[in-house]
Amino acid sequence: MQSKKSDSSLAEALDATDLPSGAGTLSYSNFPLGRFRLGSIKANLPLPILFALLIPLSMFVESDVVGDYYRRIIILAGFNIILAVSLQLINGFSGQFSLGHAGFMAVGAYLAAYPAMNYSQHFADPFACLLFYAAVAIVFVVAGTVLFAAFLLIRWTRKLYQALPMVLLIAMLVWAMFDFARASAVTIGNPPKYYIWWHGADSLVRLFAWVTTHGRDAAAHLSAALPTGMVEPLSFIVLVLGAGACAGAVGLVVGMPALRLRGDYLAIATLGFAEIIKIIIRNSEPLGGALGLVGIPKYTNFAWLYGAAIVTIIVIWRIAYSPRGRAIMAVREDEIAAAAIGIDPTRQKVTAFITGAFFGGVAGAMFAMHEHSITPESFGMAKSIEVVVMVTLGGLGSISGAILAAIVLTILPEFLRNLSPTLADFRMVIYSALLIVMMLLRPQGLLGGREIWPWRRFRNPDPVPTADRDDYQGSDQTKPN
Amino acid sequence: MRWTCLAGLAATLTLALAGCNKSGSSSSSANSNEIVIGHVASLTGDTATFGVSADEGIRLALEQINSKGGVLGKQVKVITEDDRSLSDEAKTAANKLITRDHVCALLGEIASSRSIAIAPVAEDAKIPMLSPGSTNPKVTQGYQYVFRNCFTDNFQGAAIADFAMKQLGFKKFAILYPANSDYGVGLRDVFKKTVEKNGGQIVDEEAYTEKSDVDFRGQLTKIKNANPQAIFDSGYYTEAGLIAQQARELGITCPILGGDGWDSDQTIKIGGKAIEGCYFSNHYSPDENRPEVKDFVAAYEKKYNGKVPDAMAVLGYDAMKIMADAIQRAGSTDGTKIRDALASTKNFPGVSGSTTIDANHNARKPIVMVKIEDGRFKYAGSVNPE
Amino acid sequence: MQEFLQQLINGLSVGSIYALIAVGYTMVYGVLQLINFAHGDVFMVGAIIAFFVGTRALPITFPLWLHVAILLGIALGLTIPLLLGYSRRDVLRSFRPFVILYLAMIALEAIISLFSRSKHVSVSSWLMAALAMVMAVAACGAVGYVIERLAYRPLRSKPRINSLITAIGISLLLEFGGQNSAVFGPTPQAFPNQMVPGINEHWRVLGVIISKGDVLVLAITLALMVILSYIVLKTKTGLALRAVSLRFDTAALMGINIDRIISFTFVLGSALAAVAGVLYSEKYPSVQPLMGLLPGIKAFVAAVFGGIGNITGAVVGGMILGLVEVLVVGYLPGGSQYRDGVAFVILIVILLVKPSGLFGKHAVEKV
Repeated sequence: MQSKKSDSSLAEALDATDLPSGAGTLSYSNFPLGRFRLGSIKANLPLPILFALLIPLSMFVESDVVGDYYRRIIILAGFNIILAVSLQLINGFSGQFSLGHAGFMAVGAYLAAYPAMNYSQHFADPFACLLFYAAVAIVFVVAGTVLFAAFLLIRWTRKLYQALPMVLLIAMLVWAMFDFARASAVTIGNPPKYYIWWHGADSLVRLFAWVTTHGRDAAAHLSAALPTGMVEPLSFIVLVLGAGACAGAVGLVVGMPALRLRGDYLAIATLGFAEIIKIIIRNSEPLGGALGLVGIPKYTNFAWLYGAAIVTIIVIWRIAYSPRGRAIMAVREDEIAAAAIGIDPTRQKVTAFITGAFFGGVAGAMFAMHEHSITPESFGMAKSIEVVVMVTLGGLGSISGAILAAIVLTILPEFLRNLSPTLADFRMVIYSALLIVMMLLRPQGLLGGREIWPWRRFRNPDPVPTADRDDYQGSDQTKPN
Repeated sequence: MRWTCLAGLAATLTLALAGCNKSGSSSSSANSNEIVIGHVASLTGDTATFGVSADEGIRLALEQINSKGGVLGKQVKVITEDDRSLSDEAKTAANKLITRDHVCALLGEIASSRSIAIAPVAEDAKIPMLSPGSTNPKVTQGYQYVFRNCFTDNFQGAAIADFAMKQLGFKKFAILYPANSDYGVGLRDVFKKTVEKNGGQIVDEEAYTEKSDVDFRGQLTKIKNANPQAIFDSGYYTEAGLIAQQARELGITCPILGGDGWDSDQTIKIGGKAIEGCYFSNHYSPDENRPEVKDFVAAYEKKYNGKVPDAMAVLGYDAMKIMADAIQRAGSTDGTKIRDALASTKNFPGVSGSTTIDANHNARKPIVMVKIEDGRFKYAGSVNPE
Repeated sequence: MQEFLQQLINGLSVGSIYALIAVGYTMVYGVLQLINFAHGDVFMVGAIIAFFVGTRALPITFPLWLHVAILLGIALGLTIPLLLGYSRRDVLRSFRPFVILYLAMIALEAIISLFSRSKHVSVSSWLMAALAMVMAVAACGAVGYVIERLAYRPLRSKPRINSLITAIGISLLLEFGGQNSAVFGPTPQAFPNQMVPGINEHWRVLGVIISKGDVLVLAITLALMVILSYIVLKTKTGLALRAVSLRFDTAALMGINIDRIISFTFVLGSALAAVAGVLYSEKYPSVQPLMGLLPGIKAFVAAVFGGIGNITGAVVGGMILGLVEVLVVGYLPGGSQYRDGVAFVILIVILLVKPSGLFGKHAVEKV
């Protein structure tokens, strides 16, 4: 093991390294969270410094020097930074090209806006928000267990006959179609009497309502017992983290099927998931339906956003440049080889998805509590593509690149819009032309997959996934024929 | 090498940010001898004719106001921001107008969904907002600074239902509404309530997604099976023509009724023969006999090369005139004073009718029913507010 | 029962359009393994060109900025490589197609100005319809060629994600470029579908209404499917196409001109998109620059569903997708709200259950 001279560079601070000589199932990558090393005091100094900058910076931004217009741009840039960095983990480090990040953002936004409006009593009741998320968790676990059991049951029938699962699935679909056809005889407004899924959903909703109503009073008592200064920030933190957790759960649901897909298929599948999420939200009355939620209490400001961005960057940096991160990158390079040396590809890929989704949800939650109203349309394909463009422009596999590209791509439309009124007509044309030119002239992105800091240390091992290299001759699962 | 790249990038970004400021500071310094009003409009996108018409009406009024000496002795300037028919863009546009261009009042939007999106922005900034053509009640509900100079859907939905049941004698209706539009859903609710209150019957109700659906055959087949006497389509003109065409193709012969969202020349262009004999409610009809209408139509055609003004142009024109009048009465460009002046607007002689802003910041105006005949909009009756 | 049959017919009519677009997608993907996001927008370009021809609203001459831009581009493209040291012969050779295209554009301009000046000359509507179709196909072929040459060819050796992003960029460029008022404007315009006489009529069979337009679309789809299958399976170019789609470099070793084959594929795919665009506008006579977005994605789903790379699969996939969509709208309470989700649900199900699609072959993974 080499001893590293600590010269207090950020690299050392954040490089939680020292690989043991010999990998295997006990390698750090398979530990639940990676081994956490404290490091020296000098090495950890940048962290409190960044947080100390929070107060003067936020005072500066909130002051009149900056002005409303710039403040809005800075806050938008903050959201984009969190989104871009979280997507970088999925797209860049894990090599799974996901076009569905807006879906996670939507989940985070709605599942923060709804409790903020209905449970938090204008940020006075953090425990009620906690109750909401606990209820959501319970419902999710119950539903997940039932579905998983059904799935296992269907798969078990394979033992009886090879094609039986497929037949059962088709039979279920056909039955569903006929069931739905009979529903056309039901008049508008009457709940259908014979769907398993309707009854299932109904009982889940009743479970949710039972949990929330019974816990409400206890939650109110607990919240009243808190010191008054703490209540509002605590509510906000509960909302943001809870929404992020929900988004992470959705990331799990999206990530599991995504395991079997590669490349372009994965891109369209994630796009599809994001659209499905949007459609589900659009059809849920409690979430406002197609008209969205209006009247969300406003709480996000620059200070919170700055703090969240710092936390996001640090967490993802630590994950990426650690044994865990190297395992993720190994899976990106060659899954079979990685499995051969003891890295579990499923675990790495799903973890990347869940973490990226979590921070996407955090961004969405803060976004919801900054805007007065949210509609499902704000989280559509356009938003997903925007974030993907940021990540790719910055360079796949580079966190600072994602940050830089997020800032540039937030300022660029505004800059072009202001350049001249006639140019405003051309604004989006120039934006897309710029994108194409960028891809042609410097496809590896602004930073080429390397980090800005420190430039001596982080040479990212060739971020081009092996399967996409032009000298690759081996098996390629994206060519089905 | 990397330092220089980084430095270059930082310099470009700062220049870019500074570039954002240049035009901003120049407009704020011009504030002293100009009154700046903002207009959020959908100049491009799906409902582009709304924004373009409203802007044209506003510009015509602006010309007339400025040629008579302006307001409070100063010339008036209107800055129009395009929101591409998207609610998010509308919010951004409103923000930009308020924070960077320092407008003293806001005109816009036409579509209810977008007005609902920008209302809180205007409210928070204490900038009075006057919507020329949003009819959904939620636009002004609960806000101090938001007004409209047109009727609301509470009145419009009831008027359409009354017209259909009393004048046309229909009792069984089917509804086809856009589920992702505040306007469409609100109008449908009022129509449904009025029909049921008057003893009519809604035999089928189908939804579609506006701005994205082009094929309505599935819904129309179901409607045809339910056998209505008339279909009510509470959506915008972008789908009205298509729905009519597909309905006729499927053999549905009953007339289709619509709201003021149908008002555009595209309705006839796309609907063609299929939309003949259909009715919709509107804010005005160009062949009305009142002298203000005639003068306005003549002036508009002269300025815009013979183009016949539609209702949104009229409403935009009236909105601009009402706003100028309010600023004149307020005696200053302070938001609160303008708001008070707007709230006390009484019997303003607008082209779309005499406008009085009531306690809910809405206008009580008559509705004109329009019939589509021979490829033109023809006046088919009025309904006055009680 | 009658309603069910009617919904079936509706479904087939919606599906045949998806099938037509899906065939173009499947061809390009089969050869290049690239999801051509811009395919839906090429479809839109075809519809808009046909709109301009049909309404005889073509400008007398192409705008000046277009000429200036193209000449500047050609000039730069010729001088810069020469300065960098490439051989004169190579540079001139690689620029030949562009110069030819430019000359063709000037010739077209001459024809169009003649055509537009003769607005009062009444031309038989069948001729107009045919002319619209031909012009749309030619224009889209050219657009496809230019896109491939300028945007996809340089990225062929780079990771696939860059091509994907570039495809997205081109799609956005076409959409927003079309929304610019100098080109088309963002407002939906009415397509003159009276060009094909009798397209709005219908037959009544067993109480079910079948529109003539739908039958036309179906017929053209099937005909194109047969023609395409013939090209791919029986001609030498088709053989080369199949070789390139199997293994890039080995095909080059066998003496196949990869660049030409790929350009051919793109032009063919774009031509198919143009036909789909014209037929789509005949059915839903409202054209606007964003019309290609959703049909494009649904067509891709149809192509994947049927087995990407397989033409029959694309057609069958499109039909089934259209059917399921309309049945969901017709029979699921509130189904019209889930209409767009149907395509994605089908996509995810097929990718999980049988990723190679209905007609695809299962690839064996070698280590």
